[in-house]
Amino acid sequence: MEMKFSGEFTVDIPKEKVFALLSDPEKFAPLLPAFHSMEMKDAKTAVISARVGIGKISGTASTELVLEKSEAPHHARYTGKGKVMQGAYRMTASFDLEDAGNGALIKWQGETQLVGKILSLAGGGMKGYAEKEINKLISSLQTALSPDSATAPAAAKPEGWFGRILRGLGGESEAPTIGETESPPPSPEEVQRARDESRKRISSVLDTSRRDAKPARKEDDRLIKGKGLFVDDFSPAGLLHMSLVRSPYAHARIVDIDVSRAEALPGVVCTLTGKEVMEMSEPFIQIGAGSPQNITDYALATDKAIYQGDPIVAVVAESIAIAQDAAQLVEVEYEPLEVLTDVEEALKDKVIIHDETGTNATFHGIYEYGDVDKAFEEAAHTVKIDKLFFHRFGSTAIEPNACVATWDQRGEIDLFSNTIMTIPLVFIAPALRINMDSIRLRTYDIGGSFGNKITNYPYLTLACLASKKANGAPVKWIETRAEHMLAGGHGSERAYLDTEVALDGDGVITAIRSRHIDDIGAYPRYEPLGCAIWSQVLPGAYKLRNIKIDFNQAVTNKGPAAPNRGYSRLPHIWFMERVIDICGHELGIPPDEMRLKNYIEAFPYETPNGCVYDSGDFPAMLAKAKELIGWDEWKKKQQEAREEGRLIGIGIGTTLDSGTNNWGQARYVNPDAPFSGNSTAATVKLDLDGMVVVSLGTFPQGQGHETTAAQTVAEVLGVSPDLIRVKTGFDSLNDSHTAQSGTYASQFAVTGLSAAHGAAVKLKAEMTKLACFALDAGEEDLEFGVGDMGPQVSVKGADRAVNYWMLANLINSNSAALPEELRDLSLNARHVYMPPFQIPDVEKKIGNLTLTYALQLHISVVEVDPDTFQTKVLDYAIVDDCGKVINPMIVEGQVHGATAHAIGAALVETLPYDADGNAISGSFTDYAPLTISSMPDLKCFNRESPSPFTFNGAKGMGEGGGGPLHSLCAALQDALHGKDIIIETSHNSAMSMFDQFSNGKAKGVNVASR
Amino acid sequence: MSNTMPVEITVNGEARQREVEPRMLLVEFIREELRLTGTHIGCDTSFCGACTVLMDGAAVKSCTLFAVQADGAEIITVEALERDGQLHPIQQAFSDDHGLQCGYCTPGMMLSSLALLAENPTPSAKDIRKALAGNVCRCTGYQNIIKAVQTAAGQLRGA
Amino acid sequence: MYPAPFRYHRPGTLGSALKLLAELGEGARPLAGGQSLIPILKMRMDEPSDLVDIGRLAELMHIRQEKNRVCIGALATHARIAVSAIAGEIPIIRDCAGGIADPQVRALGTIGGSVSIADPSSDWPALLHTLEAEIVCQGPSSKRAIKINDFIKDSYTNSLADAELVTEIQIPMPPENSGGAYIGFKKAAPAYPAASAGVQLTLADGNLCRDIRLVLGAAGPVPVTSRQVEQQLIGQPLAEKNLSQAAEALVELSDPPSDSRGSSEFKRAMLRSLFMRAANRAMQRAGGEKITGSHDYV
Repeated sequence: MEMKFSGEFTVDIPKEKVFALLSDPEKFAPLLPAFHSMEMKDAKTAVISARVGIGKISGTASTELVLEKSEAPHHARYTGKGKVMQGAYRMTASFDLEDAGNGALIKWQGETQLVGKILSLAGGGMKGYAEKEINKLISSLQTALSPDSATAPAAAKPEGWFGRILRGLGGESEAPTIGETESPPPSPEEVQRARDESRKRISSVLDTSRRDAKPARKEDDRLIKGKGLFVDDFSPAGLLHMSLVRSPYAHARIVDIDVSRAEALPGVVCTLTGKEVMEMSEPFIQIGAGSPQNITDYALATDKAIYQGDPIVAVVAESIAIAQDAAQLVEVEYEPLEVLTDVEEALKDKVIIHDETGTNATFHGIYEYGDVDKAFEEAAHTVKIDKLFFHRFGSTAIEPNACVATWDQRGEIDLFSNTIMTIPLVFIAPALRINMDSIRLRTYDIGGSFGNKITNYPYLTLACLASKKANGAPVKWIETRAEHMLAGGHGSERAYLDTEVALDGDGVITAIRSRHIDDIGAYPRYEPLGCAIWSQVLPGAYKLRNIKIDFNQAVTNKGPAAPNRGYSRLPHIWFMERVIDICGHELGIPPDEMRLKNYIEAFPYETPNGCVYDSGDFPAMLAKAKELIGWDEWKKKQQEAREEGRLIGIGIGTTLDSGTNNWGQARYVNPDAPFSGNSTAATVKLDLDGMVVVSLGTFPQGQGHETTAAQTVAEVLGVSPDLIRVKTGFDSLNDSHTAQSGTYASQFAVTGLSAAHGAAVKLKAEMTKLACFALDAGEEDLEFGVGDMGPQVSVKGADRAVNYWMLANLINSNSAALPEELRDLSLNARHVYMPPFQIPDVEKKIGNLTLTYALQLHISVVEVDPDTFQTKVLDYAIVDDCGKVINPMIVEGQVHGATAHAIGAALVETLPYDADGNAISGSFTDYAPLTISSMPDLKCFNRESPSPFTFNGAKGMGEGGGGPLHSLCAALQDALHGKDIIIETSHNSAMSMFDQFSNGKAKGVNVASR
Repeated sequence: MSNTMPVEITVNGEARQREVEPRMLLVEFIREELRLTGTHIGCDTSFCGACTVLMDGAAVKSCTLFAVQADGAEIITVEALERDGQLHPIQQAFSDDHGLQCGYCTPGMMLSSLALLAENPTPSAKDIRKALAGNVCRCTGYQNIIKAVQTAAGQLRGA
Repeated sequence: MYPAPFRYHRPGTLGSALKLLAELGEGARPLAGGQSLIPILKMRMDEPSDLVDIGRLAELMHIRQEKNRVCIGALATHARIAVSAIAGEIPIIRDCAGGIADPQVRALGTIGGSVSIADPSSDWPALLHTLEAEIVCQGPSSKRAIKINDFIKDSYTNSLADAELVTEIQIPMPPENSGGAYIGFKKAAPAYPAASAGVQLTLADGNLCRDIRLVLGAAGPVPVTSRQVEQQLIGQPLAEKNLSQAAEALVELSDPPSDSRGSSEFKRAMLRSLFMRAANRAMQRAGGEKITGSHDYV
């Protein structure tokens, strides 16, 4: 935020005297309104400590004030810089003096740039505050310069105004003293009695009778008892804690770092700076081709800070409180640089964020299919949409990013974290210059991720380096929520420019051409993969064959993007949904008819770019959703409401959740990328005691993998899932992973369960062989099941059986009896599932990019209050089709959750930046993740169109395709019927609706018909 | 300023004495001093409610309270809900109705729900929404949480 | 996040608390419910040397009716006020007390703390203007009552003198045929309102306005009120047109900052609409209707 002020005033003393005061930092500084104390560094430089209060802020600000120019007796100029309560500022102040009668005319001007969290807290109140402070300065100058003031005035009394009220100091108001109140105050006994009653009420609820019952999911037992193990719950002996110093500037050169005061604080073990990190590690691997390969991304910023929140220094201490105390003592000197927050501006390359690359672009590619030009030539209608915009938001998992890293003296790393895939090992190990197998990567309970935690690997790497510097002590890093909001992984933004849509005379879309730009913030940490991933759903739910998208991506000075639920596909589907909705709206075709005219009709369906939509039925889903919501009744109510001037809208969103990636699409962004297909491993073993133990290569965060994997394995073995043990979390020691293992891209029901199923089948085959030997029977005579001795294999129709322990014993402790041909069995079956993918054609960008497509159809009914601009969701219906459902309860839970995220994004949640790169939503209080107060009731229905491509007919699901973003935008569009307003952004809070109602700008959509 | 003070806080029925720094938050006392890690931290501005515990019968955010302020108080955390290996109806209902996914917000959700049920044995969906307005869940979309609280209310009434 | 270290004191009586604050001087802060102060300390936006915990002073916890006025102790929590008999009688109090933040915050946060902090967007300072409340402030050797509009001087700035504490809020009982309503608009319960409006009125025969108090909250450094605008309504029918003019006049006086809760223009529009809603609800209540409702979200 930049503020400029100027003014003039006259004093009754000659300008030479005025100049003498103004040009002496030692005399001038104490006049500053919040002055507290000072030290002269040299004749021209004062180091000032001030007590300031801004908004909710009261604290110490340190400023270095330099007399930069002094031209006696008419001009003086000061520059200052310093830090103030989690923020930083720079200022200049200059004075020009002229004679005015016997006195002097003082013309002054000042300029302040302020960045950092302080703004997010103080909001727009800052300017008013600054004005008041300047008025105070001017009046103290006037006092100091009044003829009565023989000498320079004494320092102003320290008076942080917020501090003042907090400490109960204050004003001059006079009021009559009043007598004691008549009735006595409550006695401590009465207070105690009220408390006892409250305690008693709780006790009666706590002391209720309990039943013997089992939790519904395997995971639930520990979680509902508070006995889960999240990263912060893990505290090995000798634990140290890491806190980070982050840049308040969005773009600044790091001139100097002084950690001496921090290191001197008792309890501090060490600090780490970018310079040390450069010595101890390598930059992270870059995925993109060409210039992005030159990006040097280390675990700490090195020469520049390139977003607000960029970590500059790590402090390691015996307690987190001390680490945070010490972080306050680190001094960093910055030289601010021009800030890029607009991606279109970034693409002009006038300012370069990564100096080593020469450009801000991280990808450019043209995706062109069919004959687009011809389709436009033949079009009956052409609809032009100037700009659509998909906003920045995040899933803000309730557990922040976290890890405990131990790099022990043997050179082995134990990395307990909440990352969500194996890929981080691929980034971390080379950065740390060690083998992947030297890192034991493990997770246990994870408090949600929604894709965001994929990019926490720089912090995991940093914690490893911190542990190394701390001689191998375990180092815990827990991101604070404030840090998360700046730097924890935001979903990226996308702008859609100059979109043109060709339609035939019936309103069937025949072609689209458009230019898209992704804004990924400061670093490509998983990008530019998003530049390919959207094309999994190239035509959305529609049958058009001619599409040309000019796709671009660039960096800006904002928080680095991370995959976010519906990653890259969701913004594209939102685009397609706005296109169909706007076209229908503009051409006067009812929304349901418009969809029906354009839906893909028969499945499997091969899209223009070679993806195969496996199964489903959009028209049937629409019919069902209309039935659920009561379409006709709402239409009637809408009509009545419109007559009363009320704004009710009904909107349809049709969306896809593509699951199980073909990693070959990475070659679209980097032809040399050694990736293709997909692979996920699982092991199922019969343990020494006969227990069936499943290890997965996935990193569940609430999706119930333990429950569904147990169901799958139990079904193979013909036993109850209760008899199957599934290990919690991920552990690279289990060897159940490949490089593509993880919990991402809606794939567990396919990849994870296929791997577990395959391993169970392998184990069963081994058990069968052993049982044939043990029971002296043929395979066809055996039966798997449960008997008196627990889970067993028996001979059909005979009274002969071996239980699992006996089988396990034959391999593990009683093998001498085994014949030679059975001695290659291990009862530890590992299976790697590889879906049937081909390498895509990189030149033409054609190939099957995902295995399954879950489908969702949402209808929402909203009412917009024309006075308060609030959108109330009046009714909400969802039809979901994710193929064969493995566990209906879990599937429904995912549908609810995905719906809530997109409702939040559509109506409440946004991560805007101001022009200086200050994050406006710097806390949960500012961001306001969707709460129960704003979540509507949902009417859900599940259809099952089994996938022909998976062993169980299931499709990956969970990301949900952002249905509410589509249906709510369509409903708003419908609600504003006749108002000449186009819903062009994905975020429509009351404030954005207000802007829509009042900005009066051109509609930005044109229709040409012939 | 490494001053410490003695406190005695009764947590889940057991009086616990410690010397603590005045700046120690109640949530830190519970998690780090007592190693009861079922109470979680999800934000730093008193928004998310993951740290909710019951203090003298009322739901409070233990991240917005110093341990020294709770000196002499009675605290109930999630660890107190299960007894003799049997689940409390609120726990059973959250599981049965799938009112949790990742489980991070769940302890706070259940304790806020219990505070509601202690005052109001027959809460409507609206009452539940009001009572849980200070507890954020990012997984469930709240639908099944509302259902679970109603189920638990029914069980408590029947008990 | 952890606050900077401080010393902690818990005096047993109001007298000793006042004495202690006087002795400790400028580095000390009183700690009541802590629901505003502690988040500030955690973010290290303030680093007091000492906290004086007054949270247990039973002598400041009362809520009672005395003849023609209501007396609420500074340490009465929002939660207790919301369910008190007084809130039943004066619905605008329930609107406010029951709508502040969420149940957890209401269980600890106090009216005295809220008034003392004088956050421009907090509810009590605005609401109390509609009830012509007086703030009782007590120092080591003095006790005085200050009208709420003299007490709140600027954003985060009150009229407390050295080592003085708010001890009680006194509210005159509204006469017969009175009704009031207060509505805040926010993104979620635990967020601060982006805008709020309160109206407390008394009806005369024929639905004419006998008396009225209006306020806009989160509308500038201090709650926005205007005696002049109120006077113009007195004796008039509270018709849409008159109220709408009053809304315009009040909004004209407001100066809401642009911030994460919305732009200044947006907030002005919200203030206008919330005012109209509050006025209508106040009229209905004055006419004897039982209507619940307070803050509104999203």
